[in-house]
Amino acid sequence: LRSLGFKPREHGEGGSRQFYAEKGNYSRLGVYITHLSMLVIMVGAVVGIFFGFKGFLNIPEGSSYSVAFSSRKILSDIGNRERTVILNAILSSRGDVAAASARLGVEESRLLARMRAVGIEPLGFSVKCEDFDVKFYGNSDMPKEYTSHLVVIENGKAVMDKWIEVNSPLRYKGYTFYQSSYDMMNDPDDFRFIFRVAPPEGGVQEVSVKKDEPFSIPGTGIEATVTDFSPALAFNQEGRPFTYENKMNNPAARVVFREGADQYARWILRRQPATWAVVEGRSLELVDIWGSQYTGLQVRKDPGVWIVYLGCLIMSVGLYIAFFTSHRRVWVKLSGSGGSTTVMLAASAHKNREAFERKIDKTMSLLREGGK
Amino acid sequence: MDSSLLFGFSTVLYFIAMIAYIVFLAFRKEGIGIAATTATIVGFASQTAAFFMRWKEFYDMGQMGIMRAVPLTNLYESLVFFVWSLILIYLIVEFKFKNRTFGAFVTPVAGLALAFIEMSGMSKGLQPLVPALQSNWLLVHVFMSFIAYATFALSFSTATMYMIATTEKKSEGAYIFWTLTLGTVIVVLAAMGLDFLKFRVAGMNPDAVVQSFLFKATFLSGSPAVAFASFAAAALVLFAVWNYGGVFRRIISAVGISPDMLDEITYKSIAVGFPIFTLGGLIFGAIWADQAWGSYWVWDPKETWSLITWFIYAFFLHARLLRGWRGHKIAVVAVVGFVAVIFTYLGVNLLLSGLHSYGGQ
Repeated sequence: LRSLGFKPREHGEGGSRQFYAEKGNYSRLGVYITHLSMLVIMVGAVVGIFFGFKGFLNIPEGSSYSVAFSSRKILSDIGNRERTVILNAILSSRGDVAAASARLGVEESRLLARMRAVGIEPLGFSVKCEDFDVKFYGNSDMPKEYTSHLVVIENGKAVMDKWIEVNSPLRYKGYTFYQSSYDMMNDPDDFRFIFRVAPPEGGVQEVSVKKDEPFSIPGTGIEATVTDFSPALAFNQEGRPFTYENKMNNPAARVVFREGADQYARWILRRQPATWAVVEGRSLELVDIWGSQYTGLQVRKDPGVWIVYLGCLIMSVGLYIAFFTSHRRVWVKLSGSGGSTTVMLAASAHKNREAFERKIDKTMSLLREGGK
Repeated sequence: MDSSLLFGFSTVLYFIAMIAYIVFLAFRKEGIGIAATTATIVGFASQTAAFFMRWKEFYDMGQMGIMRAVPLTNLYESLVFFVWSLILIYLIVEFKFKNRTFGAFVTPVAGLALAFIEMSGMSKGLQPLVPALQSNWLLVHVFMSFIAYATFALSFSTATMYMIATTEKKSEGAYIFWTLTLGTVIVVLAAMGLDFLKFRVAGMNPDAVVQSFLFKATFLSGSPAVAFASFAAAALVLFAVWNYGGVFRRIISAVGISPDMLDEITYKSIAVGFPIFTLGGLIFGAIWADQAWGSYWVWDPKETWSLITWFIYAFFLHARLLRGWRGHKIAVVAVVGFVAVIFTYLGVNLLLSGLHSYGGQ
């Protein structure tokens, strides 16, 4: 029996001796563990529904928010108006709820209650989007990565700084911020065109300008102006530029250069180094059109998620025990009379009987051989 | 040498194995049986090698981590991997049960699936990963889901064979059920074949055919006459299968597969597949969704259908273990479960849009 991994117990009874051994008696529990785990998962889901928050937050590049918006609340017209009033107060108080309540002339606790009622979740800290970017595979338009540079600001101090991606969210104080969408902002007058000027002798400089705002290229007497831009520029068969997508797939800026009376213009495409203008040996690279996009974040707080995971873990263990182990028992009776000993063996398994039977048969045949 | 050459080689080997298994069934010569098993194993090894080579090619295309460059990201790759899982599960069964007769039923499925992939000309190109798929969960989640699908496929075939082997009368419920199932499979495959023939000649991209032109050559044809003729032909096929179904029973009883063994394999493959599906498909899927989509469960069509599939197999296990269902009743549940699997795997990707629709792109 020991060769099968059993620990037998012994009883003596007159002229015979009895052994009994069992293995895997916990296997019968597997079923109950599995069903218990489903209850645990349900508890986790309910906790998530009652104590969690699910919402979104669209942050333009350079802006910050200290609230998130619920995606569950559907509001009446009155509710929507109240929401706009509260939101404006919070935005003009830079996310400070205390200041916003003073501005609105209501108590802070009352404001917090009304905020929740209209689906505005105070985070207790602010999230700033420093930058949003899409990276592509090679020269194609197949997106490789959507990424936002987020900074968490609490009590005026930056406490966390992270580039989030689709599979890599930011977690802070129970809230999780996921990269979920993005789009263009509407007002091109706010966009900043960031150029990098690389002189041949080294010493890279960055220039940040608005549209139609003349700037001089460092180290030269040339003046340049961004007169037009496109989020996704392509050229048709006649060589005319056109915008093929209202997303920043292939951002480009049309720059007019002036040197005295001379004037010429060209398109600079961010993803095509061949188009970066060379002025007096200095290359002018378009780094970003900043402030032109907002990042769409999904915001979630779910205290039940760990209970759900615990349930999943219990379920895995339960299923393993229920399907891949079995309760096996063996009884052996040795009764001697005279010089011979009779061996009686009984065995049971509550699952996968055939395999256990083969094992027992093998042991028996070994016994028989030994007996001869 | 590249991976597609090895894939072609394994396709050929699976066809050789298929012929050898069928000849083995007919003549029962041990030598032919060994040849069939050898061809399957070599084909499997070559497909495994091809899989890893494609993995490397994918990785060399660059910009992804080695664990993320697993070639399981579009319809073509997943179908090929499904064949691989099916052969793997079959080989395990062959060695566990020391029985080669199933080979004659499994290798044709594998060979036909690979031939179908070749013929349809669906895009085999390596496509770089979209941002949502760039996670180390991709490997475990997809790998385990497909192993589970393959065990479910096996339980489907043994459950169908069980019903074929144990029904005598044409008026029996189980007889009508399995002839209808088999007939529908034949009709759907034939209709899809016609779609591909028609629209391939018209020079359309096969992925587009599946997405927008499915059954447009037959049932959903613009011409009422063609549509009517298709339905009539389908009814004829169903009737033929129903009428001549006894032939299948005679084949199975002639090769001496015992219904009890079929019943046992149906149960065992589900008992193995169910925990794998739960862990790899649902639990790991939920953890990944929590990372990527912001919630562990979002009622995406694929999730919903996985859950439906999970409930059907959970019902199977409860009915068998608690109520002691055996025979036809339990076989019907296994067949229905696999229909749900097919819909979860292909139907959701091709017909419904959702967060999981990577296969269509």
